[in-house]
Amino acid sequence: MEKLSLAEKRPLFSLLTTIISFVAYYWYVSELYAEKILDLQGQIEFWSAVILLLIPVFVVSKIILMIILTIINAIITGEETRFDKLDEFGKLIDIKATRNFYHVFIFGFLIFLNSLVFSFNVFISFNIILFTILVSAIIADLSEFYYMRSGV
Amino acid sequence: MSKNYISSNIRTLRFHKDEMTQQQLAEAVDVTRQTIVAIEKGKYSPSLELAFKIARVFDKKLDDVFAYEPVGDKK
Repeated sequence: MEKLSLAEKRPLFSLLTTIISFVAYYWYVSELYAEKILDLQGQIEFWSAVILLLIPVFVVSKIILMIILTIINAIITGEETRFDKLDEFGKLIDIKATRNFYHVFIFGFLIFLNSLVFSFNVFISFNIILFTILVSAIIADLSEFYYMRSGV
Repeated sequence: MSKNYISSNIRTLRFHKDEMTQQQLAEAVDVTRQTIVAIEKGKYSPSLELAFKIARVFDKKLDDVFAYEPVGDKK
């Protein structure tokens, strides 16, 4: 396997930051949930807030972790750090990876709706959505890496 | 992986133009080095605009830089 360029490493860095951010956030949320005794309405509000807050938490943590990983990579490999804007090739990869994200997310969302229809526990239903977001993000990062290596 | 019928001789042209690097060509046509790498390996078909820009860098016509070679294409 030939050496990965920085552009090819970025989706792998993004994958790592996605997993780290989600695990840390989910662990924190689980600790909070364990401390509370919530009725049905309370659980719905709690998990809805968790999902809404996931977005800004994800964005901020990923930015910070990506910067750290890029700096570490530059120190270890001596590669010049470049933050290139997206060109046509990059935009096409981004579009396809985003498309894959949405395909997986829609599938997970349908499972979530089914879980509500079949009266699953609220905890399980909202965790389905949470983990759907994680899996979708992982698929997007892996897709980006795949298209970068194999072409579009 | 999608089948790509566009081939190029960019690598050869770069060599003959004072051993131009992929990075230099990328900067000349305002794309990333990764895009040039993908085009040279036949993993990406550039847009018409980009193809013309690349040809212009080497003072060549489009046909002298890129070729379209579909497999099993019948006229």
